[in-house]
Formats: sequence, C-alpha cells, structure tokens
Amino acid sequence: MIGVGVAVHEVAKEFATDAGPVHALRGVSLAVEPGTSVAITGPSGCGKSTLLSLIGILETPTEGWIEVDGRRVSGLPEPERARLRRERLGFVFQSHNLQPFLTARENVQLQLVLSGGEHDSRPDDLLAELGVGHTAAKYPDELSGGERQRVAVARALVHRPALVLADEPTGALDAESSQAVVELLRRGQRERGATLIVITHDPVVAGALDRRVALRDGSNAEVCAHA
Amino acid sequence: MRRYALRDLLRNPRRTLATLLGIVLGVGLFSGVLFFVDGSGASMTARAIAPVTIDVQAVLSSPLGRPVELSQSVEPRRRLRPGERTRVTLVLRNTGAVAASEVVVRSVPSPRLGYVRGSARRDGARLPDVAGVSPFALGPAQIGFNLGELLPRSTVRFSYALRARRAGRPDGVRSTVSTREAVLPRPANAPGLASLTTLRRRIAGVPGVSYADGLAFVAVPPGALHARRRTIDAPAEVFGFDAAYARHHRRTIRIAQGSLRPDAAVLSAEAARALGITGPRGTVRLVLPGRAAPLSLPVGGIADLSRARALFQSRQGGSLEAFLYVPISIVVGRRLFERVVLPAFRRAAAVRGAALVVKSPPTLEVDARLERGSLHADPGSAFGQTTVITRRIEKVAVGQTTILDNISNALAVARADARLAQRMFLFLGLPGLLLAAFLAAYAGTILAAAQRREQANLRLRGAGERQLAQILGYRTAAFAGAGSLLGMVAGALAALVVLGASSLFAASTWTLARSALEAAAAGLVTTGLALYVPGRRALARDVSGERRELEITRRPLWRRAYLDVAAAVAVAAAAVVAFRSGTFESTPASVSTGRAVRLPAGLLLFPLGAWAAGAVVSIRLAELLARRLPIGSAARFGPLVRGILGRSLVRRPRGLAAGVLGVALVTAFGVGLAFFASTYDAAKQADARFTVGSDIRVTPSPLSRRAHGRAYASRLRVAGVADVTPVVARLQNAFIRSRANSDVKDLAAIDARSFAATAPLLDSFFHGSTAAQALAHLAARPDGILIDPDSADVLKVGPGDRVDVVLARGTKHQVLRRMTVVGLFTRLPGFPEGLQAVANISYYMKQTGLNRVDFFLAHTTNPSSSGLRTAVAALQAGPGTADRLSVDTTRTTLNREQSSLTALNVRGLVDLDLFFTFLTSAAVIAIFVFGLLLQRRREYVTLRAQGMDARSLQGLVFGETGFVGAIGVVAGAAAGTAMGLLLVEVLKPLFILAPAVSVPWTRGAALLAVVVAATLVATAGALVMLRRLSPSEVLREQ
Repeated sequence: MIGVGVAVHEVAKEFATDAGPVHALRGVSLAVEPGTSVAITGPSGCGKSTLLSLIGILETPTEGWIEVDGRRVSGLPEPERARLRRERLGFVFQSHNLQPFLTARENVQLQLVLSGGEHDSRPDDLLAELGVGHTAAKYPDELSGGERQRVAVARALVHRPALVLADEPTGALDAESSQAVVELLRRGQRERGATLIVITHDPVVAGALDRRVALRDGSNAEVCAHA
Repeated sequence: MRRYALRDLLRNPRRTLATLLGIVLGVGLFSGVLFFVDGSGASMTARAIAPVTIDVQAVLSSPLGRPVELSQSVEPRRRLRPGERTRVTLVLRNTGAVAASEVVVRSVPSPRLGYVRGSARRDGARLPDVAGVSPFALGPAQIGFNLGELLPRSTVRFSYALRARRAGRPDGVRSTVSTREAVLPRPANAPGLASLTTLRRRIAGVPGVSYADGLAFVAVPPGALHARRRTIDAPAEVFGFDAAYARHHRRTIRIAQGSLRPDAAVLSAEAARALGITGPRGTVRLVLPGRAAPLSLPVGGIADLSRARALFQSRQGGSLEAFLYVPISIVVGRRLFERVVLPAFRRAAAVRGAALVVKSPPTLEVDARLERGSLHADPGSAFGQTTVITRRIEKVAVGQTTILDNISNALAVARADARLAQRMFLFLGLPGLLLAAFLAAYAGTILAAAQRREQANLRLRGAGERQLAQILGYRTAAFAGAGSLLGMVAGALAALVVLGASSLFAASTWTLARSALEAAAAGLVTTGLALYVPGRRALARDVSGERRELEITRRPLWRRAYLDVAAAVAVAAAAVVAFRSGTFESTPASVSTGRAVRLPAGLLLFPLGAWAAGAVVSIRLAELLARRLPIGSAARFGPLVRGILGRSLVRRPRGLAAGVLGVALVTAFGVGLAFFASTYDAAKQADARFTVGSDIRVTPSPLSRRAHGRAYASRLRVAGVADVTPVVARLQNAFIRSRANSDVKDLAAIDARSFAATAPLLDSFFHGSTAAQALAHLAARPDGILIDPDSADVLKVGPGDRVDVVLARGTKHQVLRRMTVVGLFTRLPGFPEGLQAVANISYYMKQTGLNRVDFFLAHTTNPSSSGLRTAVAALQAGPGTADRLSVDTTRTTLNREQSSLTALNVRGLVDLDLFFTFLTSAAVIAIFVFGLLLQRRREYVTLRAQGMDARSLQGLVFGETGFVGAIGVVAGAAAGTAMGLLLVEVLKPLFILAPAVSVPWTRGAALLAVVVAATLVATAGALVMLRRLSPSEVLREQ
C-alpha cells in the first residue's frame, strides 16, 4: 500500500450551539505528502480533533475542501465516504474506542470484515507483532491501557490503510507505553508506506514524526519540518 | 443547585421527555382507573334502582282488622320508693266472631321494676310462675304466656305485681299480644288500626317520599267473574287502585280502551276476551265471599296488564323478583275496594267456615316512590339516605305495617358491588402504577448513566456528594411532580372520553379530588423512589468504575436464587390448587335476594401474580435464547451485522433485560386485558341471547284479537329473520307426579326442531347427552318430557321413566297425561330464572286443546345491532301493523337478576387500559431505543469511523431492538394469556353462563403492530440522532 497525499484548502468548520455559532477552524490549509508522517499540535480546543475528523471524512467542512489522494472528499455522499473510511483509512483514538463486547482479536478482525476481507491469521500476526498476541482472546476491560492502545493500533493497520489518523493516541498512557505506541505507529506506517497524521500534545511524539503543524485558535500558526 | 437541576432538564429535552413520558403514561393509567371507578360507582346507583318497580311497600299487617285487643293499666302509677309495689293489669278481648288461636300475651317490665314471685293472676286465679319467673316473660328471650284459644266475644283478665328496685314512676312496662292469625305482636293500648287512606296520606307526607299510592288486591276463586251469560272458570285477581297509580305505572299498566273511573271496572284483556266484552260498555259481576249479591259494575275500560310488574310482583320475601301474572284480572277504584270488597271479606272471615272460601286475605299496601333525584350518586351513601326514609315510613304506623324496602335492598347489593368494583378496578389499575415505577426506574438508570460525565465534571469543579445528591433530589422531584401531575390530567381526560362528562361528574367533587390526590401521591412516591434510587446508587459508585463498558457483571441475587422461576411456579401451583379446590366457583349474584357478587379480593392476586412473574421470567428466557445464538468460531467473524449483533446479544444480554422486561410487562398486561375484553364481549352477548332466548323475542299483546297459534311463527319470518320458534310457558302450569313424589312445576312447551335452530343451546345445559341428542329425543317422542335434575331427584325418576303430568294446570283445559322422561336439562335459553320441565308443543296443544303461544323466539340472519334493527323494523312494519307485538332484543332486554356490576362499563375500562397499554408499549420501545443509543453511541460512532455504512448500522440497532421486542412480545403474550385466563376465571360470577374464553386476535394483532411500528419509528429516530452527533466529540468522550 502506498500512502496517499492529503491537501486541506482553506478549511473552516463552524458548530451551532445554544450560545450561537462556534468557529472551530478558520482558513486552515495543510498539505501532507504521501508516505510521510505529520504531527498536528496545539493547545486544547484549538480544533485539532475537528481537523482530524474532517480529514477522516467523518465531518464535512463549512468552507474550503479536503483532497485525499488528489480527490476531493469533502462533498462525497455518505456511502462513498464510508467506503473510503473502511478501505483506505485507519483510526486510532485517544480512548481506544474498542468495542467492549468483542475480544482483542475480534476488534481487529472487525476492521478486516468491514473492509471486505476476512483473513484468518492476519489479526493474530499483527497482534503478535505489536506485542499483544497473548491478549487476543481477552475483552478490552481485561487489558491494560497500553495493551488496549496497541490493539487499537492493530485495528487501524490491519487492513493496510493508505492514511492512518491518530487522535492523541498516547494521551492516556504513561511515557513508556507512549513511546512504544508511537514506535509501532511509525513502524507500521513505514513498513506499509502509509501516510500518518497524529494529533498530539506531546512534543516527544511530535518530534518522532516527519513534520509538525501547529494550530492556534483554529488556524495555522506554524509548520516545521524535522530532519 | 435548584437552578442547575432545572437548566439541566431544559437543556436535555429528549432525556426529559423520555423520562416524563413513562411516568405520565403509568400515572395516567392508574389515575384514569381511579377516576373511572368514581364515575362508574356513581352510575351504579342509577343502574341499581332502575329495575326497582316499587321503592318501598308498606303492607298493612292486618288488612281485615284484628279482633283480639289488649289493654294495659298500672296501679298505682305514682312515683314509687325502692321496695314499693305496683300492679299491672292486662285485659284481653276477642271482639270478633271467630275464635283466635295460639294467643300469646307478653309483658316485660323495665329493669327498674322486678317481678314479684307468685303474683301472676288469670281472671283472679293464681297463674303459676315458671321456674320462679314471670309467666309473661319467660327465659332469656322473654317469651310470653300462650293461653291457647280465645273464644269470640270473650275477655280474659291477667295481672301481676312489680316491686320497685329504684325510686321512680312505674313506667316502661311493654305488653303485646299476637295470635296465629295475626303473628305480628300488637302493643297494648295501641291506637285504632290505620286505614289504607290514612296510611297513604301519612306516608306521602314523609320527607324524602316523592309520592305514595294505595293499592289493594285479593284473589277470588274460579267462577267469581260473570258478564252477560258467561262465567270465567279460572282464578281471578281483584285490584283496587286510583287513576294516579295507573298514571305512575303507565308504562306497564296500559289501559287500551276507556279509563279507570271510581265507579267502574277495568278488565284485563284476557278477562274481557273470556267474557266476550270488546269495549268499555256493559256490566260485569263479581262474586265476593261474604257478600250475598254479586257486585255489579259497569265496564269502564280494558287494559293490558301482562307487564304490570307493580301488580304481579311477588310479595314473598324469598322471591321478590318473581312475576306471578294472573291473566284474569279486574281493577276497581281504591275507595270502592275499601268500601265494598274489603268489608265483604271481613264478613266472610268473621263467619266460621266461610274462611275456607277466602284463599288468602286481601292485601292492602301503600307503594311509595322516593325522591330518586336527591339520592346520592354513590350507592353506599344512597343506601344511607333510603334507610333513613324507610325508618321514617316505619314510624308512621308502628306495629301495623310490614315494610318491604326494595330500594334499600337493591342499593345494598349495589353498595357491595361498588366496593367489589373498586377492588377489581384497582387491581386493573395497579399494573399502571407498577409500569410507571418501572419506566421511571428504567429511565432513571439510563439517565444516571448518561449523566456520569456531567457528574464527573461537577466533581472536578468541587461539587461534593451532598451537592450532587441535592441536584438529584431536585431533578427527581421535578420529574415525579410534573409526571404525576401530567399523568393525572391524562388519566382524567381518558376517563372523560370513555365515560362521558355526565357519568364522570356524577361523582362528587370530593370523591374526584380524593382520587386525584391518591393518584398524584402514589405516582409521586413510586416514581420518585424509582428515579432516586438508581441515581443515588450511581453517585455512590466510583467514577472510574463507571467506565467499564462490558456489562458482564454478576447477576442480581434474585436471578441467582431463581426467585423469578420460584414465583412463577408458586403462582401456577397456587392457581392449580385454587382450581381444584373450587375457589373460583361462586354463587351467581341476585338482586332480589340481596345477594351481591362474591369475589374475594385475594383471587385478583392470581392474574396480577401471573403478569408479574411471567414478565420477570421473560428476562431469563431472553438470556437463555441470546446465549444460544450462533456467533461463529473464534477465528471467523462471520457476516458483518450478524457477527457484531450476535456477539453483542450473546455477551451482554443484561443490557437488554430491562427492555425485554418492559416490553413483556406491557404486552402481558395488554394481552391479558385483550383476552378478558374479548371474552367479556362474547360472554355478555351469550348472556343476552340466553336471557332473551335468541336474538329476538316477540310477545303478542293480550289486547290482540287474533289467536297466536304455532302457525303464526311463519308470519314472523320477515326479512332479517332466519328462524322462528313458538313457546308456551307459564309459572306453575304443570303438576308432575311419580311413584315417589309429586310437585308443582314451571313447564315450557317447545317445538324441539325449530327451537334447536333458533335458541343458543349449549351441551352443558343437558345432563347425560348433548343438546342436539336431548332435543332429538324430545322430538322423537310426542309424550316425551325433559326435567331438571333437582326435580328428577325429588321425583326419583330418570330418562325412560314414566310420570303423570297435569298440563295447563289451574285452567279449565287442564288434563292429566302419562308422559315419558326423555332427558335431563339444567337450563333453557329464554328462562334465566329457571324452568323445571320441557314438553313438545304439538303434544301439549293437542292434549289441552289450547292453541295460544305465549311468545316466539326469532333468530336473525345478522345478530349485530344493525341486523337486529333491520329485523325489528321488518317485524313492526309487517305483522306488527295488523297486530300489537311486543319485541325484545338482546340489546334492549335488561336482566333484573343480574348484579349491577354487569352494568358497569367494564368494556370502557378495558379500552382505557388498552389505550394506555398501547401508548406505554410504544414508550417502552422508544425509551429502550434511545437508552440504547445513549449507552452505545460511542460504539456506533466508532463503527461509523471504521467505515460501517448507515444501512448496516441500522441493521444493528434494529437487530437489538427487534430481539428485545420479539422476546418481550412472545414472553409477554404467554404471561398475558395466563393472566387473561385467570382474569376470566376470577370474574366469572359477573356472567350468567360460564364464559368461553375468546382469543383476542384483533387486539393482539393491534398490540403487535404497535410494538413493530414503535420499533421501526424509534430505530429510524435513533439513526437520525446518531447522524447528528459530532463524531469528534463523541470519540473523545472519557
């Protein structure tokens, strides 16, 4: 799988609330080269997660547009967006969001089933590769935080997505587990040639990626490239 | 805190609405039932007294006067010192011309005075004491002295001495006399006997009495009525009443020709026909015992008295409702009766030997009508009012009248019925309260789960346990208060719709206000607790503990201990024991004998138990089924939706338990009620047909000049009428004699073949054969006779035995025939009061020479209301134009023997219950679906993020809801069936015939349709809400 490029063009997102409209993002532009990794940083409430939801085509921008692999995805109908998400995107969330009634293996398997294929050994191989092979038959509430997040990473990578989106994947983990998870994400991204976008507060995590984009008050503040 | 709680409710309108909805519906059902009970109870007074023909009858106990009189004197009468003596003298006189027998003199002094031993004297001679006490007050019952016979115009003088125990005047000596001829004790020194005129005037003046009429009647032997050269060879009844009486009973005393004049006679149609009198002209002669010359009167009119219940209603205590019609009757003015007829009987009675001529003495009574409009709508209060009025009437002529308090008797039964109805209806309303509590608890649990995050935030901001508990308290109070209030309003509106404003507001304001308060209080407490407890529990739990998503936790104790199964088994076992021990069997009610429906409230626990236990067991059933669902192997996930849904159901069935329980509770209640409603409708219809005899009963008027023989049935086969059968039936018209015994019986003569096609016959009406076989046996044997088992026992006969039967007993056509018993029957349609013998009409007519049919039964082609209307219209427009026909149908016949409970709008109550049940079932599904959405929204949004399309997501939500709905409906239908069957058994005494259970297909299908529609609508709504959720927000939720 070769990673896809992501282009964000002057995107704005507005939410309606009881107190009036709230501008989560204003005129954000961003370009991510295929197969690279980008960290999006910024203070709480600056719109990082909203930006990730827009790139992940879970939400549509109020203004501007987003291209994934050169294709404008913002205006696609929901079935098409759902197809793109299950086939080409992989998500890792801060609070893992594993299905509580499925075992670790089944959580990973589910993503494969969603994307149209069910391979018997791939989930087990991946879990083993990520160091949580022993947890395959366990339910999420029987796992530690680090183990849960590794399973979540396995779920995000199992169907070989072209774009992996991670929202604070280490937010609820200790330093050791954080480092392990980031390494796993990076390894998976490199091995599979995928594009990786990570929302993070952690400068260590941000530093481990190719590039960092900082958001402030819903707009671009700073873009810098790492070595 | 208060403001925060309020804002929280307003900010989350969906949650607020979902929580309120359940409370409003549950409390609405409960309060609706309470208001319904009030309104129905109020209408019970009207229903109870509607069939009462005469409210109060004051019957003179000695219509011919009392020849034996007692006078009492006490000397000295001055104030006595303790130990001082006084003497009581009693003088007994027989002023009549015949001896009085069994004459008993009773004299009881006041406790202040003691009998002086050995002081009793009879005509100066010593009268011995009995065991040392006064011979005039023996033993604890203070029985009087029986002097035996008192010869005419003779006097006996008694006396005895009293000693003062305390100082005072020697007052309070009560002496009475009674004889075998006049059993009612008459006080000494009683004033002169009141005449009917005086008594009528006094009773009419009693407060609470609307009007009072005098009525006199007496039976005269065959041969007493003559006109021209004809004599009627049948017993006759002579009535004496005024035009006012006829006016007050104009619906049943129908003077067809002429009028009731003081100096003339009105003949019954049958008497006029027998005498060959066709109009108000000529004279009629009445032979009276004690009067040498017949009483000759001009014929003033001809009347149809065949429905005059006031005249022919039995005056015997044991059979007050019996209609003892005497076709040959003559009516004269009341004053004429008092002036001429009564003295004649007095003279006859005064002559020894002539008494034999007088079969029974004349009856003189005052029929009083109370001011019914001022009676309280509640039968209990109305009963209090009528008894007070009756006591006043009693005091008008103490010791001279016997009071028949028909209205109070009816109200006493209605009062008992009203109490029973309250208990019965409350049991039907209780599930509403329990459902409200359940829905509130269910919504409360969901609410508590949904508010965990908010509470965590409040904790972070420094809110302590106390503040959180305060917020919970305010929220609970707001929900329970507003929900109970709105529920009460909903209940009142529902009761208003079902009962109508006039019925509902017939109940007193206080009664309605009390019900409103009860409903609000019950709703407030139960729903308040149901909301507060789960909320408080949630607060007590550790916040991090709440994050556990997988609900594979320990089952509650009651589940582990199998208490639900134990409860269901206990209810089933108790029901079986109750059935076998005949607990559900009961004696039917009877208004005439003052017997209300007996329905122990404990029995109502059976259906309620079946409802609750059955619904609770449904959770276990759901888990059992869920755990058996195929979910594939560990390595293979299987198809997307089935794979996820199967695993979700198998691994966390507890999350569905509340939903299953809710649907099962509502469905069970709905199905139980539907079973009852359906059976009730069918049973009422069957009762009506049984009472009438078929769909229609046609009774030719006695005024008709046409002879209505068997052949007339063919003329009644008009459009809308399928079959007609003729029936001859009179009270005590047969005398049956066997080798062992003999007795007078009520016999009906029928045409077996057409009767079988017309009347609703059940096999259970016959002993030892089916209905068809019994009637075939009767048809096959012209001299065959069917008799009831009690008569068979008394006569010691059975099928195949021969009996001697006097047919047309008491008429000049009576004949004695030997007949063959061909079968035994217990009941016959058209004779709800019972019947003892059935013969072939052709044989009866041939042997007696009578060709007059008493009534015809008609079976319509369409038994619905419209079908009946069509047939009745055709009858009136056809044969009814040339003849006077009285047509009764299953819709118009009022069965007097039935309890006032049957008149209650039970159907209305069931409709009210079903209305709330339908709404509640929809609410349960909606609350479940939205609760599911609240609990699982992160899972669903995650699946969306993972690429699941909307259709698959819809399949998931619908799958879980469908599973809950299906299991709930199936388990609820089973529990509801058990509940319905038990309800039918418990309420059996309401019906004449044992009700046959009727399956409520329509209502069942409607309930299922509501559940399915609610599932579809709620799922669609949930998906719309899911689409509107902000994924970035939901996915970051902690």
